[in-house]
Amino acid sequence: MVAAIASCAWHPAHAQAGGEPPRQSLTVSLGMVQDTRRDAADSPLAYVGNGTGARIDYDRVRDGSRVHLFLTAGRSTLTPAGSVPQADIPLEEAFDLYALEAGMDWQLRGGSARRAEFALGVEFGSTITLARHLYAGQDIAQQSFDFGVATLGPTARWTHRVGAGQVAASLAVPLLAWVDHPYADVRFAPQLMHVHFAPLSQFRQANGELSYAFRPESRIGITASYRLGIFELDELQPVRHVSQSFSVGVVRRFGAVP
Amino acid sequence: MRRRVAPAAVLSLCAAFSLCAACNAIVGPDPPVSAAALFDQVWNDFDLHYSLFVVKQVNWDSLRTVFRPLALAQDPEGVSAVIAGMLSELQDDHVLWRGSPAGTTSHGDYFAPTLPFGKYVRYVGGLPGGISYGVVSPTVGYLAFSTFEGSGWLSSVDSALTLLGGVSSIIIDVRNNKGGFLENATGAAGRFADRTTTVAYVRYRNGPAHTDFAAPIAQQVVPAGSRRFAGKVYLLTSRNTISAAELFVLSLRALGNTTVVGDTTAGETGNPFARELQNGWSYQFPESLELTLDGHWFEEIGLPPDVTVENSIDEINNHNVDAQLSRAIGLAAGKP
Repeated sequence: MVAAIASCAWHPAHAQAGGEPPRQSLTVSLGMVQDTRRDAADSPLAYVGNGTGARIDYDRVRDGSRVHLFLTAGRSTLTPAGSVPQADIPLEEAFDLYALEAGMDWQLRGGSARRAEFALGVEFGSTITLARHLYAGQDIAQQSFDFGVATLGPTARWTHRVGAGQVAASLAVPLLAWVDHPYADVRFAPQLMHVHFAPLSQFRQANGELSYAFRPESRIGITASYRLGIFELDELQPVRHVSQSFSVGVVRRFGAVP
Repeated sequence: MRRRVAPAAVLSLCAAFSLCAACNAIVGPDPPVSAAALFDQVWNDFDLHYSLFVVKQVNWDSLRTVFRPLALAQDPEGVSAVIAGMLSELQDDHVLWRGSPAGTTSHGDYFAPTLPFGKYVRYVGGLPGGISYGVVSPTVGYLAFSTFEGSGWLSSVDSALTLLGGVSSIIIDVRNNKGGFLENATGAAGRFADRTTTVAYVRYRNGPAHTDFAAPIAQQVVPAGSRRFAGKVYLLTSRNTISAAELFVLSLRALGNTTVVGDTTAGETGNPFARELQNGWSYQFPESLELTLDGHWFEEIGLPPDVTVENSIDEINNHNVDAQLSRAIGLAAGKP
């Protein structure tokens, strides 16, 4: 896989002597997020809830290669996904997610903005989640269950003009992962980090995105995106997390336009 | 075409977003609410996280062997009493079971009779947070902390020290203090500190073996408060000086200039870790092990005083004598 990506990088479909001027875009998006998670270090219960999120995207495209950088932040209020018949206190978690993704992909074929384009690449991702398990009216007001993951893996991206806009679908499947999954809550002891490499036998993640850019040739435009992230870590205290978001953003494009 | 595609795309995305059921399937179902599942969840939580097996010398596997068949004979409601029975074998006041019936697994209250006011101390006042204060003589003040619980508690300590004025020594009474917030204990000690001082260590459970602990973390006292007391401190302790109050004892002892008078403390420590079950019952138990400055745990042992003095019910009730306080007053007056 890595060799294939490297090969694509070395022989990009659009490589031309002199090249084309770079296209850059900066997108600021706001939207709603939905997180569903279960961390056995925290609770046997799955928690789910909605919240708000913000994201900043930067793209730079030149000669068929694209560099991208995403910064994401989201905050949700989670409650048990199933019924809990005898809860003596309200069960609730405050959940924050921060993510940074940076990657590069290379277009494999196509040349016209009117046709479908397909690109392969690599992406580095890092995500930190902060779950504050709240105990209303108890001696212990809250417990903190932080989680961090840094990943590296291949990405695939497909774009196509639809109507006046452009549809883009992308998928990232990390193959290498380092996780920090503290053994217990880190309220009193934030030093209790437990960073370790997670092999593919224990770790699975996939991040997909489907977006639609309205009038992609204009300097300022609108984009709508749906993202789905799935994360599984199988270890002594397993973690499962599904994150969905739907956002609308404003795009400012610089340099050449399609 | 253009007008059809955009709304359709938005609707599709919204529909996908609402498919929470699919997310639940990925995350998986919650454990069942059966007697076996409830019992196993509690047993496993303690097995993985309870920090005091090394001290209690309880054979946790044996307890499972004994109590699990009893749990399986119950309905999910009845299993609570079985779990409570198993947890009571730990004899740990920091184990709190909120099943039905709820309760602690206390192994009994200690008797710590005290007789501070009237005969020995002129009562001056009380402050929010269970703080009372008085004067023994123009140079000796008296301060009793009945708890270390409560927000804003430390401002009461500042007020008490201000109201005690220019006394040169203070008797601090924590004989009936069952603990509370660690930050209140170290914060109160900060009123007697002139520099940041390591006063104890704590180790957190960090692995499945009962002996798996993270490296010791220093617990420090930082000078704090609007009024710091630099005089001599006589600290009254008893078997009813528990948990955060024991950290306060360790703190003042490490700061120096303190003489501990009375009886050995309870030896009941551990930061609580809260858990919940799939049916909503909850419970908490220690996830840490407190260590003295020389690296020894004192759980179930307690912290011995510098000057051992025992009080008795007879002396208190029939002779109006608080021997511990009397001895502290004598020491403050320079009597050996």
